[in-house]
Amino acid sequence: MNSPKQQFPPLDWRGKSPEVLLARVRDAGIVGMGGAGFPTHLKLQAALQSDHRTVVANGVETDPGVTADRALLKQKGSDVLEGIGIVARILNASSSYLAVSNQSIAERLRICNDHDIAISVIDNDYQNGEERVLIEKITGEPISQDSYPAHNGIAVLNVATLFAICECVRDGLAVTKRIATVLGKDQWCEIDTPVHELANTSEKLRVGSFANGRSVKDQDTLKPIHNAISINLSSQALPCIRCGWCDSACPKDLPVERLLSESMGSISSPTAQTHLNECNDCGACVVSCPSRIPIIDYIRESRDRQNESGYIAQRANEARQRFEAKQQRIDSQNQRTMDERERRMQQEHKWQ
Amino acid sequence: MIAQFAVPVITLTSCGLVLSLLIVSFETWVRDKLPKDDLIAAVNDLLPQTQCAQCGYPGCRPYAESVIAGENLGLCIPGGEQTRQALASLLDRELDDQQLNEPTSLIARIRESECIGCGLCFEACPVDAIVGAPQFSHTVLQSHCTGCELCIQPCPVDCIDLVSNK
Repeated sequence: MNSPKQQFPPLDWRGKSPEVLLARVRDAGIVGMGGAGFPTHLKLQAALQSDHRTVVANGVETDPGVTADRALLKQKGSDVLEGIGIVARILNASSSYLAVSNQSIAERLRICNDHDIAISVIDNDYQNGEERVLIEKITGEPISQDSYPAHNGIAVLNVATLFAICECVRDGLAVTKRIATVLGKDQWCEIDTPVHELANTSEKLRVGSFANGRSVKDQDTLKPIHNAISINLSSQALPCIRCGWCDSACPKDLPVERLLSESMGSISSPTAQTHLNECNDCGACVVSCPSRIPIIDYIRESRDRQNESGYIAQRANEARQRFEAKQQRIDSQNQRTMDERERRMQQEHKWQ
Repeated sequence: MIAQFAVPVITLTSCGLVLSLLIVSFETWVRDKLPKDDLIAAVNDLLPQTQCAQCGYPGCRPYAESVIAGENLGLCIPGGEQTRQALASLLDRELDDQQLNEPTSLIARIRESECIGCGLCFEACPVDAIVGAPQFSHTVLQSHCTGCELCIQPCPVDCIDLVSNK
């Protein structure tokens, strides 16, 4: 592997002000490497608006077949802990947590923990990696669905993001590689390598887990947000047998089977329309499906379709409003001209 | 013998005739009484609101009004076949075989180096998507343009193109 690119001068972060550190995070272009890709400096800025600030490092990895975060914590655990320390300094956080899903990793990290971080072991249930669920498990206080955790002063960051923060602040390195589970094997991958080159197979692939990852096209490359490369099972899909396991698997209690059948038939009922945006793409339905149907692909497709038709309807409505406003304006101008003409004619009449 | 059959047949036939007349007259009476504005608004909602006047009417609402009065459903070119089908199912009308093309999503763009600032396109735009001061270069607001093509004909220097929206 080539030597990583030195982008900035190294910083002794313990002596620097939080603003300098935040500017470094922004300049390095660090985004959430757990999969969402949200710019990290924006998340930290949002958390800074709150009075009490907390850092939660998310090492709970529940995606089926993905072990990249675990491997990172094993190999670079102390760097991740230092990353939590940096973020805690940026936020001036009152408390910081690290949640992992493996007892032995937790014990190992406790030995090198010199940043006053509470390390807790969370069991490997599928939903526990979702940030709201995780916060409730750790702090005991639920976050309302209407607001993001960052608005409540809680910055939930993936451990890979924290590792990237540590490297860019302490060593001044750009994000040029990340650890990813490539077909079950954890390895350091150069970012922007073609996915097919990394996996070295002719099978169809997904980036992310096989449950909720996205299908790879020919030229797609590995991005910082991708934590795994998995086999795409959609070519092995069998017809839906209406078993209803996806309904019971859904952590949000959505009518998954109905959404699936409507999406397969390109129908959209009002019920489905309200449910589509509630789905948070976890992929639990895909794991449960005995027919290996890529349910999440269908749901994403019909959600895209719905958003597009909603967008078209919104544009049409705006166009109508502007058209009516213009008509009204022209009418009132004409009316004013006529009134003025009337007035002048009356004046002239008086002079004669 | 004949009278035995003729009496019920004549009675029932005349009853049927009277009742059908009643029903027909009631239906026409109800149809006149129905709120027409709601129907026009429903038809107008189905139209794409480009206000392009390609149907021959000066906007989408005038076309909606004439559709209610019995105008051909297949005049809306930006709406395409989808809109024609939707209109037919709303108004419960038969469609002829002649299908419309799928609409293309285009917007206007002014080549600003060639614009002389005459302001004729500004006046032609039905949705106020063109901005600019007299004698200065004008431009099209991409988010507002509906691709109606009404600005192209008035332009004296022919500096407006239709480009893909994507």
